[in-house]
Amino acid sequence: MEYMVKTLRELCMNIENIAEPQFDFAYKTFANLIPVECLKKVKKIIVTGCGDSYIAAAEAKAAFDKYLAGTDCKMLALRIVEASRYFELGDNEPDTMVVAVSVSGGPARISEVLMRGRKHGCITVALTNKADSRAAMNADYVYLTNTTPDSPGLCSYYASMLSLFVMAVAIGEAKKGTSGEMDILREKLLEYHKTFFEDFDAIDAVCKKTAGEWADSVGFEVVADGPLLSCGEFIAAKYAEAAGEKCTYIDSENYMHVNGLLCPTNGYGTIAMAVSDEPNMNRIADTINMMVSRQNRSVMLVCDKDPSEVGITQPVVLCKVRVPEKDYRFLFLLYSFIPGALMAGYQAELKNVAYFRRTDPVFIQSPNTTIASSEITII
Amino acid sequence: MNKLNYYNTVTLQAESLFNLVDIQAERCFNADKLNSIMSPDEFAAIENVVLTGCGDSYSAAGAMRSVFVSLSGVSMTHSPDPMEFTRFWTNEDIVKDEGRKSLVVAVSASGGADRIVEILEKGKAAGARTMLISNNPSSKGAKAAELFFHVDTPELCNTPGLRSYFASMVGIAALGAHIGVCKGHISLKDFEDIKNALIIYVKSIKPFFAKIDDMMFNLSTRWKDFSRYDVIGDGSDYFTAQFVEEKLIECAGVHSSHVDSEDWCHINFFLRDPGTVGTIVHAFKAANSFNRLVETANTAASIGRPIVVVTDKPDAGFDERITVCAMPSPPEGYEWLSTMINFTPGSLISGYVAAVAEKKFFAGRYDFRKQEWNFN
Repeated sequence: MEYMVKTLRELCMNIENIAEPQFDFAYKTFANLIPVECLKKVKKIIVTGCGDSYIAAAEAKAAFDKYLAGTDCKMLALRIVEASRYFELGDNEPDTMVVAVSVSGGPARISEVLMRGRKHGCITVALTNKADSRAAMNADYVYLTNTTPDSPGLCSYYASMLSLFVMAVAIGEAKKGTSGEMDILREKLLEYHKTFFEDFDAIDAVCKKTAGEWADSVGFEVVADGPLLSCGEFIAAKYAEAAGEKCTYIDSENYMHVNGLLCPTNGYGTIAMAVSDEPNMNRIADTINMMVSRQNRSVMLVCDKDPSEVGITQPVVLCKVRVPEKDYRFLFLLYSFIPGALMAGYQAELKNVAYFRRTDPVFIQSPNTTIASSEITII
Repeated sequence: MNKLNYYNTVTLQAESLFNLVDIQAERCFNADKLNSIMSPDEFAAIENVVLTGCGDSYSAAGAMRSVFVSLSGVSMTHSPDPMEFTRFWTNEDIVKDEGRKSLVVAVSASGGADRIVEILEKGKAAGARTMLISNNPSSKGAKAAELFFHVDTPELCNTPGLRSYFASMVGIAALGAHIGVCKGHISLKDFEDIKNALIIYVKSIKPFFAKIDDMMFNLSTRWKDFSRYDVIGDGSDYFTAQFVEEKLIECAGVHSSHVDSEDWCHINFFLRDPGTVGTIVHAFKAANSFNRLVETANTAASIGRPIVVVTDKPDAGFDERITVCAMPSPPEGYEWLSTMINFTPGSLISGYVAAVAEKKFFAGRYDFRKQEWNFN
């Protein structure tokens, strides 16, 4: 299709080439960005962004938790409206760092949160791909990602997340006065990256086949818990952006209270995401068994083990992925979205629709210009 | 169409709130009752709080989190979802310093869900105090909890749970205010004033209710065939939006999601066939992001989204294609009270959309006309 410059599959495959250069670029850039003395005094790191960029922040929390453990510093991932308009900031918070993630650096809300941070005496950082963007102009520090722009943003999302991981290590080491974690992370990343992409063709084949079987679904849903719930949110965003389809995301407990009532009960293609040794496995297995046996839902399970090994007794499609060792499990989040993103891309192809409704007259006539032009209010 | 033919248990509950508020406020904003749960000194020692629950109760916890912070003065108050809390939080996440300064509050009208028990057991194992806010003193949740706060909601139909959602929010607000009094963060007079403001504000909606109900019914006759809905809200109303989403799913089984005003523009804006996606926006003028909510509503209208805005400022410059559901403003200084009642218009749509489409609630299992469940 002419209007699809690159398919989501191609964008996913691009990720194979960027892990190492992106990591090295982030490492080099951040090492020279903020003085260690400044990092040492940081006690609160607020990371935020719009849409995908917020999700990258939410997914980076696990890395910050790991590397800031034992320090006096905490990371908070906040939705942009929460960060810019609601989250309480004191008059002068020099120990707080506000990190606004935006590949383009253009949204009004990104500049707004940086301006708000500056007003409240915080250290402000724009994590962006554009050195001359509005966000960059409004930040104390500009942490560049150096990625080729893609749309829908997959490499840029990956780059934002990976840059935040590097940031987490650097701040953790600065605060603890230690070193060596960065090299270990690099090694673990490249090791897992290779492993994941060894399986890519098999993952893609399962996704393509399942997407075809789900072509006429009423809608889509992702069921996941903890850090993977944010991954579900990202996949839902890709369904909207790529295919214009509604995809909801929900945790395995609230599914049982609410979303299991969606009608027709068998009408929703459902991606369930789980890792066998995580503490939610038994609950998500119960939920999957229920959604298949009672609601007759079609489920694709993204998991590191066979369904029978994790307590799933009902028929599901398995999209098997290998996962990193537990200490570096957060690296999985750099890749866990790929099956869902592939599904969203295939759905767009099946529906023959252009990404972001670029050929739809309604959207051509009424583009959403408010992302950039929205009124800035500094609270 | 005659609206009376589509009267349902959402309408019944929504109109009951004007009577319920007196009783619920008295039974929750009750200093003697709260003091019988734990001593004022023990309440005063609380320094961090977790508020969580399942389904509607999780929404109530989320909607009241920032209110709880402002009333109690306990800035370290979090509202993780139930799986996040039970399976991914560590003991260190739950207990800061001494365990007795940490309070884990599970919210559940029935008190019967396994996860509620697990929330309480997890809090206890971490060394925190644990409390159940519930309407069921004999539930297994009540037995698992160290402390029990009985909201004591009068009997009436509660399917789907509007009255319990309202009662849970009143209970959380009352608990927050009581902790605030014990800490000296607010005065006993403030505590009483909050109760009175709640009653006065909720009752102030009553004269407008018939008009709101008519408007939501008429809207529902046009929206009855929609299978997709977006519900938008910011701050506390992000959880109002979540609650309305839950009612749309429970009553009509429609594919619904909640989202904030900024992320809607980045993601949900792109849903295909925008003319068939029912869109409900909660935009009260005291919201810090009110101007963004107005922009977002107008953006949604520009692509032909059928849209209703629930607001106390109907003259804020909304696109003329938007249906504006006007509600009174809360009294000055109590702006948060809008969250206690602004879920009703969206909930009414949920009930009417199902009723007009001749659907039973809960995926066909609940007959709202007979108020009967059928699990066959």
